[in-house]
Order: sequence, then C-alpha cells, then structure tokens
Amino acid sequence: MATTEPSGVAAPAAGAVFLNRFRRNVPGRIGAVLILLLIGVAFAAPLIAPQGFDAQDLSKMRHAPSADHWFGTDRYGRDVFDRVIWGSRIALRVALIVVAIQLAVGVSLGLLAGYFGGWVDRIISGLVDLVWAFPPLVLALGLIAALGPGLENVIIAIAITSWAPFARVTRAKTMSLRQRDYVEAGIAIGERQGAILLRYILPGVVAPNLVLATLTVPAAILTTSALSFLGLGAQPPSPDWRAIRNDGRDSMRDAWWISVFPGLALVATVAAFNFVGDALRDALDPREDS
Amino acid sequence: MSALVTARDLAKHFGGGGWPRTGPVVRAIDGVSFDIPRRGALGLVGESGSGKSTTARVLLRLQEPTAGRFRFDGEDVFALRPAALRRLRARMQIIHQNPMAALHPAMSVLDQVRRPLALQGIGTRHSRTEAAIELMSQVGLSPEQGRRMPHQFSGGQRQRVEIARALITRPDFLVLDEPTSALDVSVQAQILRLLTGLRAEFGLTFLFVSHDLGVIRHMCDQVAVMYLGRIVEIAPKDSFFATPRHPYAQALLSVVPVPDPAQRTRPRSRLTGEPPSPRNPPSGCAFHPRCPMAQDICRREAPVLRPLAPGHSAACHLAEARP
Repeated sequence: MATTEPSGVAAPAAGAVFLNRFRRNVPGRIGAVLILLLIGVAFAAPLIAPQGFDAQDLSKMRHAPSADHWFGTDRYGRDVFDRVIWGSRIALRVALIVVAIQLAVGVSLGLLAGYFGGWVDRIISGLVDLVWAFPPLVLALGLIAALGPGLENVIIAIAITSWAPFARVTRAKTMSLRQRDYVEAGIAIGERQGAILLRYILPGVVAPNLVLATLTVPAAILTTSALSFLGLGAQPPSPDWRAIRNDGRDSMRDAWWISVFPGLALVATVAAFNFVGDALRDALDPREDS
Repeated sequence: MSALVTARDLAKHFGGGGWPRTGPVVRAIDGVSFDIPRRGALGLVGESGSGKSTTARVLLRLQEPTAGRFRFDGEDVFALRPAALRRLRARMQIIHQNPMAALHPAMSVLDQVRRPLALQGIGTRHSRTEAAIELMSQVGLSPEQGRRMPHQFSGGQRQRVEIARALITRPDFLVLDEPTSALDVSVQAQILRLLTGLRAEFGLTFLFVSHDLGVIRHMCDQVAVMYLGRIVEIAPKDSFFATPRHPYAQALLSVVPVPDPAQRTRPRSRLTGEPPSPRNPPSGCAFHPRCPMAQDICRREAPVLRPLAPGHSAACHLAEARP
C-alpha cells in the first residue's frame, strides 16, 4: 500500500494559487473571520457566559441594553447576550450535522451514479429528481409532522430534503473524471473498482462539494430557523436564535432587543458562509487566470 | 509461428441507447483482426476517428468490446472474470497519449511507479520500492525525483514515469496510444529511442498506435492502416512502404515528409474532404467519396481484406489492377 494518500486533487502549486486568489477576495476574508469568530464563540461559550443561557433574574425583566446586559434581558430576565452566545453552538451544530449527512448521502450516491451509469444512474437520478421536486421547507414540515418537533428531527428532515444537489454535482464531476486518462491508467494497472472510486475519483469531487457545502450551510441554518420560529424546531428554553426571536415577537414594540440581536447574529452567520462560499467558488474556478 | 496477440473480428459499437433501444448505432470499430508475433511490433495508423485508439482500449478491456475475440498467449482475454483480468494486467500495459493526464495528480511518482507491484502482490514493500527506483533510473529519472508530484515534471519526464509504471510488472505486451504526439519533437526522439531500447531489453511486443507514419516506420515491423473503424491494409513494414496497395494508404504515405525532396518518388496525392462520420457511413467502400479512382463497384460493394502479396492484404476492389 502506498504511503501518500491523495489528499485532494488540487496539487500544491494549484493550492498556492487558490490561497492567493482566496486572500484577494475581501468579502471572503470577512466571512472567514466571522466564521472563525463564530466557532471561537461556540467553543468559549462557558467562559464568555458562565451563568448559562437560562439563568433567570425575575427582578430584571425586559431591561433595555445596558453595560450589565449588552443585548438587554427577555421576559424572564434572562440575559439576551448570553443566550445569543450559547445559540451559536446550536447554529454551528445544525450546520455541521446537516452538511455531514448531505455529504455522506449525496457524495456516495453521486459517485455510484456517475461511475456505474446505466440502471444504477437511472434509479439514483430519479431519486434525486424526486427529492429535488419538493420545496425543502414543505417536505421538512411533512417529515416533522411524522417525526415530531425537536431540533434533532429538524436536522434529520433538512438533511433528507437537501442532499440532492450534492448527488448531482458529484455525479457530473464523477462522469467527467472517469473519462480521464489517469483513471483509465488505474484500471489498466489492475486497481479494483473500490480503489478507483476512493483513491482516483473521490479526491477530484472534493472541491465542488466543498463549495456547495459552504453555500448550503446558510440555507440549512435558515430552514432550521424558520422551523424553530414556527415552534417545530428547538423547544424552549433552548437559546436557538430563531426560537429567541419567536419568544421576543410579542414584545417587538417595547423590547426590540430581544428579537434584533439574535437576528443580527443569524444574518452575520448566513452572510459569512455565503461570502466564503462565493470566494471558494471563485478561487477554485480553473478558468479564471490569476 | 504462434502469435502472442491474436485479435479476431473486434467490434465496438456505441449508442443504440434509449429505451426501447432505438438510437443510432455508431460502429467505432468493426471486424478488426490482426496477429502480433512475440517481440513483434504492429503499427496502427489512421486519422482521428478511425478507431485506432478504440482498438487499443478494447484489447485491454478499458472499454468492453461489443464482439470479437482476443487471445493473449493462449488466454481468452474477453472471457476473463475481473480477478483473472486484474492478474493478467501485469502482462499487458498501456502508455497513454497525454502524459499530463495519465498520471494521478495527487500521488507521488514513486508511489505511482511501485503501485502496480503492490496490486499484483509482487515482492515486499521494500523490494517494490527498490524495483521502482531501479526502473526509474533506467528510464532516465533520478531516485530523488520519486518524492515529487507529477505536476513538478515536464511532459517528457512524465512520459518516462508512465513508461516506468507500465514496465514495472515486466509485461510482455505494451500498447502505446500515440505515446509521443503530445511531446516536443526533440523530446519525441528521446522517448522513441528509450522505447526502442526497452523493447529490446525487455523483449516487449508492441501495438503502436499513431497517426505518424514516420514514427511507425521507425518503431514497427508491421503496419495496419485503419479507415472508419476497419483495417483497410495490413502488411510487413518493408512491403508496405515500398508498395502501399490501398489508395488511402498511398495518400497517407505521399504526405509523409521526405528529408530530400529530390528523392520523392511518388507524386503527392492530396486527400480531399473529411473522413465520413461512422454514424452514417458511405455505401460500399467507406473510402469511395474521397478516392481518386473510385468506380461504380466501389459505391456498391464493400471490399474485403484480401491477400495481394506475402503477408500483405488490402481491402480495395482495384488493388490488383495497379502495379
């Protein structure tokens, strides 16, 4: 067995070009910083907000933002800043789990469809079309009706309804890669089909899927949020950002801070992932010269 | 003489797709037969689209044949099951046209050169590395270059890596699919010289696919000319270059540059028109629309390959009529 595993089809030189291009993309850099900040905050939540997300102080209900409570307090006297900080963990968890499931399902089905073609491809592509035909939110609503409300079920529902683009992108890339001479050379030296798929083709489908994953995270977060807002996702007292907003909806006029700050966090996160996704796509585009 | 490679009536048809299968069938190759004796070298020439690369790929089952038989040293290759086929691959290898595309972009060249040994379960890890390094130096690469990735090499060097990878399992049969047409002329000469040396040293049998008759003349001892998926002329090298029988072969040969124009013996016969589409082949002889001497029979009847001299066959109705 060879020692060097193909880590990615982008070779070192291409990697340098890629880094250069990515660095020159200003929104991409801002997005990357924001995502790092989000990850840092999520990990450091117990340090930043040691009293947790549901410590109530009934003497301080609906206090406006102040030096003590930067984002104000909600109707139970809970600090909105603390809740937003802890909510970053939920946003990140949703993003990670959804993307992991999407990648696992989408990439493996796409590889099989693109590599084997024929009836395998027809069955998988039919499934992709079927899933894609439904608006994700509607399908997710239906699934949650069956599974019951709760964040875990929302994550499952979103993942089940949104892997289709990964399968399609992977299938197309696989179809073009399997025509490559080096894949044919692999067959000619006696590689097994499994090795061809994993060692020769899989590294080549990483880049487009990475871009797609970055671009689907915002959608996943927004759909989760929408379902949480409808009361189907994260349940109280969870500090999910949209659940907080749902909580603050009744008091928008006299306590705007309850809704606005988690909303801003949501917007920043979604924008950050979009920026990074766009920057990745541009940086990985082989057509553009540096 | 028993041939190492015996191909009979190879056919590869594409299409006929859809359901029900009603799409147009493209006969990429049809009825291709040839023998290559052990240590022999057959050159396969033709324009692009003539099916020469398809023939090479079908032989190695990189594309599954539609019909035909291929005996390799007595083994019926087209009947082999996957495991047996993988074992046999140690004995028949291919060099691709474009060395930029034929190496795994994210695997060091040493790994790529020794990989076939691991796949065949030959030797230990250590001995495989030794063998790879030795063969690399034999094809003109230094051992220190082994850790590098393919993109750090020039085209000629990559072709050397490919040659080392193909020869590491000591194959008997090497298919060369236009191995030099993507290289600079000076590098071409180096690679051809290397291949000639290796052929003698390893006792290789070549199927040399090329559109360059000059290269074929240099490398091979038998020539087969393909036109629209069929062999239209097959002959020993000397007989072929002295008296090509098929008008298409004559046309190809007349445009090969001659170092001294005063020595040009035949007038240039320029081919007009495009090669016809295999999707919609002409009636009768596939070459008749471009043939300077086409007659009625050529439009009506497809000529079969028939012997005209010892070992020399051509598929032309009029071949005998001319000197």
